Amino acid sequence: MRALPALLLLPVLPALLIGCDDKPAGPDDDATETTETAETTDDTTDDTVDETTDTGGPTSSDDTATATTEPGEPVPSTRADLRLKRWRQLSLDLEGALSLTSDQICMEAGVYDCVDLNVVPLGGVSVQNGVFEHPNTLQATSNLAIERLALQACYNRLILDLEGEPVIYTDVDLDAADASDAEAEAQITNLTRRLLARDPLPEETAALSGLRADVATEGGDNADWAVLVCFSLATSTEALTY
Amino acid sequence: MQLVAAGTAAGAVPFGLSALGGLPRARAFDDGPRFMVVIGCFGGASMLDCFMPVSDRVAYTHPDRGTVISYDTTRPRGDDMSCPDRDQPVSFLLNHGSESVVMGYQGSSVNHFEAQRRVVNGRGTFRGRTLTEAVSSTYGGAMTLPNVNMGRGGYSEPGADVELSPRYQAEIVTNPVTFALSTSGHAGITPVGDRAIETPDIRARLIEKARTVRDEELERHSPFAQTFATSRVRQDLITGRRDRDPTLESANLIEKLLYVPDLGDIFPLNKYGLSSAEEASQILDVLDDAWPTNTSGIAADRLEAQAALAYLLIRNEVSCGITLTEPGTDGFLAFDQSHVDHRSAQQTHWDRVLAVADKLIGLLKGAEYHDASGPTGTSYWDRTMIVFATEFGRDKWDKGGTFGTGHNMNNGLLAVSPLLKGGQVLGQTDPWNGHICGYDADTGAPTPFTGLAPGEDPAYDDPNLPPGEEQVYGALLDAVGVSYDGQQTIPAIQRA
Repeated sequence: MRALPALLLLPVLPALLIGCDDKPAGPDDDATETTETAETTDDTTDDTVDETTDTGGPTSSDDTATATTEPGEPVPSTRADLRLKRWRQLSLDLEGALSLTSDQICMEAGVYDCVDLNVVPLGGVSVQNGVFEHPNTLQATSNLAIERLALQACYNRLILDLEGEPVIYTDVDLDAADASDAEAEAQITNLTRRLLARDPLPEETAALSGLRADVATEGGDNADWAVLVCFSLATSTEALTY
Repeated sequence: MQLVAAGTAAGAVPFGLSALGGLPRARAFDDGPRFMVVIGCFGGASMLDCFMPVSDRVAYTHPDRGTVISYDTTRPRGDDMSCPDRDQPVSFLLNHGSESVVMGYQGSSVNHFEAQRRVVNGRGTFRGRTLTEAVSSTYGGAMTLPNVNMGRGGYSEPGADVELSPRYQAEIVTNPVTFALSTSGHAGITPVGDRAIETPDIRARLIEKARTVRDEELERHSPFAQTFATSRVRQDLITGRRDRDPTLESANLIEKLLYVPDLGDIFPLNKYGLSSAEEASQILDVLDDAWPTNTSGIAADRLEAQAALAYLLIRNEVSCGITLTEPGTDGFLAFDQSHVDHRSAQQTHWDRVLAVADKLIGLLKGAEYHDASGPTGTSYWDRTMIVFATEFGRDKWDKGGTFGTGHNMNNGLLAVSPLLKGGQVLGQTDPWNGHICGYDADTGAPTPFTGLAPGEDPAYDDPNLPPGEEQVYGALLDAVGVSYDGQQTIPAIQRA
């Protein structure tokens, strides 16, 4: 298989590194995980038909889909075999994207690790509680548990950036109530690259930038807005699946 | 996981019963929901050591096998219900005997997890649905979390009905103390402060705006989203955001289900803008070990914590199928400590589950049920059943030592509810071999073993053994108004 552009691999690196972290590894687990993840990446590109053929990945149906898609448009995947990132992948992704340590991601009431409390909704098992199998469907609280994890990570990054030299929220004045369009766009681009490993589309930039008006209405400032942008991106299905 | 479930169904029907039989029928009660609480007596709770004991005075001693496990027994109510003469089972019978039914049953596995699955799914008789799945899919249509499971092992596993809506599959709860927090995506996520994002009401509104941008703009334009538009996982996430998450948040479960008060450094609720349920102090007056005493976040008594959450789930009509599990004083073995010391293990854990159930019943009795027109003069307990799922029985013989009582498929279970024709023991324990015999399903009259010599066990196909899991399962569901095609039942326990 030809080497893929490094940027395309970024979103899936945590998954590649971790694999199925909380179940015993089978003899083919690594190979399976790598192949499927690579296929996922292939499907997001316009020029990987030959590569997917080489990897034995997407079937001829995908090729058909490619043939019926306008040039420049995303290629719909017929397999669409996405997996939900489990707690460790989610946590590691947030650590990497926001330059946080594991204990800076999310602590409920400042005391309890969110992952420990919500390990099952976050796709894990709880041996201590005799839950040895991953639930085969999303738990009712999965989305909300994910949101809590992401929102607090985004907020914790803000506190660190306010207390010291900003590391992530660097493109807007966090203490100011307004920012120029260019500053907002730079911050959105920065966060999108960190959380989704790509540049934002103009439509995405416009939508996220539009949150500034909502924040202003509520008396908030750039710091509040930056957290919302981070939250929106970190909880998008693109960030949560691989 | 699906393979495990399918395997369960296959393994659950060893005698040719159809796992696909049993289509749901109209429910019997249309005056509001019924609730079922299953207490998984993890590790194997023997009825010989609680409500179907053999008296010391009549227990047979075999020259090689030892003496049938027996106790100094009493009949505190003056009827057929007996128990070892010690505080807790006596107290429970006095308080709840009139609403209790003890039923002998012949299990089909002595493997812990398999026996746990089978006792709660009736060996797959209702399409493989568990008791709580059956109840929640009948009464939980309007509830936010119809089926909540705080069990473990086989008690926490889903049933095998692939057609059951995921809505009625159990929400797994590993820590009842903090579970409420996971019912909101933003409440209590930061300390209360001056920033907009630190102000609970403002944060709630801003997060809604951010969600709208995410769901209506990012998910529409993102190349990734367009490429994987048909992904099941992605669709599940989006559907949950649209249909389920708003319901959970708008129901304010983060407050209604939070039964601990501000505990300072252990759980500083107020600092994070959180407050606990109105009934919190009332609950902790009764279940006084249900809260954590250190920063482990784990309650001093985990079973009491489960009962506290169970009460709020019922009281607020959030759930109608709830599973608890005796976690054991050691956090794991519970009743299976019988392998080390049978009598003390059975006594300790029976007393514990009965005491906690007694407290839960007391709370539910004190909570008036309101229907659409207002107070009804009845309580939540009046529409609740507690099932003590016992897994399997133990060896019947005491060999004189303290080690070595193994597993035995012959056992019974306890169900307590005003919905039952209580005050009954179905089946009798044979003092010659410690086995519980069967009974007439219509009258409850025992059908004692015949032709057995003293010390001789009944054969596995003895016609006088008690019914299997599927009949007991069907009878319990019948009592709460859940019906399905091919349902076996036990009319003797049904209220007229």
